Amino acid sequence: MAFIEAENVYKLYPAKRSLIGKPKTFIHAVDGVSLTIDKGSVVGLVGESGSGKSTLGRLLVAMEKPTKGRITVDGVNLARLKGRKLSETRKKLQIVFQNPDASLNPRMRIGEILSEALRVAGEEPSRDRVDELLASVGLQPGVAEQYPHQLSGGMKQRVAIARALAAKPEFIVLDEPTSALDVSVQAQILNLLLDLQEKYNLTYLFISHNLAVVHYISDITAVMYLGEIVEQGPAHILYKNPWHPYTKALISSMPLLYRVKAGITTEKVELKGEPPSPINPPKGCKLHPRCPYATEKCRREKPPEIRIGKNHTVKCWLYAKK
Amino acid sequence: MTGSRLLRIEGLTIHYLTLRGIVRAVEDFSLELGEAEKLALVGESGSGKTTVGMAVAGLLPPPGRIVGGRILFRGVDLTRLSYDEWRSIRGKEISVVFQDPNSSLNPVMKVGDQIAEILEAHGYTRGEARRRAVELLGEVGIPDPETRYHAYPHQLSGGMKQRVAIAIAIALQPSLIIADEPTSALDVTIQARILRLLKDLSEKRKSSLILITHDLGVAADVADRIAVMYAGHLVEVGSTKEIIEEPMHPYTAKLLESIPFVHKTEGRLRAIPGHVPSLINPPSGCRFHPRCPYATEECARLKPRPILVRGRLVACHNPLLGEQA
Repeated sequence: MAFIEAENVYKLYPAKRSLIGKPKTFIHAVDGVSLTIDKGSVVGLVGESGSGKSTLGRLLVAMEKPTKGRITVDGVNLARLKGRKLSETRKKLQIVFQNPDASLNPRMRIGEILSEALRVAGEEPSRDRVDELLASVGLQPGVAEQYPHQLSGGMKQRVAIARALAAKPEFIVLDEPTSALDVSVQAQILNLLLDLQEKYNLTYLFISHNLAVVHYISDITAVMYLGEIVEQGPAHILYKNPWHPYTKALISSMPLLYRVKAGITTEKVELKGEPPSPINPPKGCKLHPRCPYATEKCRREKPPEIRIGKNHTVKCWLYAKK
Repeated sequence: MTGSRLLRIEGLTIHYLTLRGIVRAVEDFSLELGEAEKLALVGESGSGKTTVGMAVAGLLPPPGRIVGGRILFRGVDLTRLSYDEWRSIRGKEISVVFQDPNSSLNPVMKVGDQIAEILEAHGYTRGEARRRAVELLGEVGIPDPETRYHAYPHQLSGGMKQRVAIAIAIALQPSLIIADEPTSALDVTIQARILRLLKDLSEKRKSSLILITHDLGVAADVADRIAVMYAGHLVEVGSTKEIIEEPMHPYTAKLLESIPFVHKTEGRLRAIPGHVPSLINPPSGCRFHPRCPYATEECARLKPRPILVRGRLVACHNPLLGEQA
């Protein structure tokens, strides 16, 4: 059952303004994305920097409003919600960021940070609830007395996760939650996230540039390029049998060790150059200037979303029926 | 080890003197590197891998201090060189590529001039230096090098900037390049290209490479041999194949197990419990013993010295020898 649904969502940021402050050019951060996230599932979002994956994450937790398009949570259109209704819905939607040093107030004890989160969630904070939150992320009660700088990176990220849990959320956007951590600690956090998901029947959007991590954790993987989802499908199928030239390029550029261990044998696809600016994205298929298979049609027209399997779609002219 | 010996590190010990105490960043570290050999120095944060690399390049930042050991480069002890002596070695014999090209390139100078400047400082005339700089830009895969010579760093993408940094590093044909996480700030598709460039350049020029990385996958793509560090200690050195396929040190084995290689349906990751220790009060004996499933009483007491086991160096009292791994 769909819990989060994004339909043809756009987010434009003004890039340059005229003298009177009227926007002249826009950054097309999210450029026509449709994505469905089923209740209790993990959707992994991969893409290189500037692909718009973090912006999409912020849109889905109602931190930002889309310029165009519709986002529904549990069947309710976010744009229709105001005031108390909106804040009630927002509690169900939480986000955890990459860097806990930036998201945890360095002058507050961990106990205070979690109490504040409980208060915001409309709950009277108590020592028991704080301890319970700490325990749910594998931390000792004593941590409540400490300040963020006294904790290791992994412990701080556990606190950030505990804070997200304070509001009893149903959906959590995890924006590069393990990218600042060492591999051995990353494994602990990934295990914790999976345990929490099972225990509380959580739904995740897991954003990362780390292809191996997304492969591991996601049920459905979506690949973003310049604000668009170019391919999405079941993780184990998409990694072993990618269709879109961009997905192929990404996956075939993983270090060999990762590909061998995951049984990935996909052909090597080399893209020309580097991603262009999202201010003036290429017309037609955005990948066409870099794609080895680009044709005249790719330069002119946007490719349609083509269904190639259960829950598996690709936006590429190569697979359109003639 | 391929070819003859270029670098020999003996018992290197490095401390950082801080207000909170002495950080024992590297302890009794020994390693050899051959001519034209590509070695990866792998470890997590705080393992001392960058500290070792910077010590070899003579760029150990204060308050870091070499308190013991020698770094022999073609027989010369680098730890005893004066500032002036270093100037004739750095760049010419040993050069460095850093993680972030934004901080290693001069933002207000044309990238071509940044390469030419080094060549001029080493005896090229201005005209020669410029011509050579264009050649070098081409050699590191920058398209249209004549035009790009005049670009400023901010006009180039992250990958292109790193290529410029590599061009600077190879300008004087050094025998050893130390690349410190050269692709960690880059996207995967760009990462793959930069790694291939470093590997190709090193092979073509028969220069040696020390690649410092936290990623065993990256290490395996480039290096002939891998040295694994943990909390300031060298724990294992072997050929890339040996380290990846049959790790003998429990830390190497556990590190490999904690990498998410497969899909979650194949089971939970085997994470290493705990975290990297503080190096102000490092654990006694083997610094990995508090997190090691194979630790014995001896491990807490006695620091294991690296010993040769089946052709590879392992610093462990109970190395994994096949069956029990």
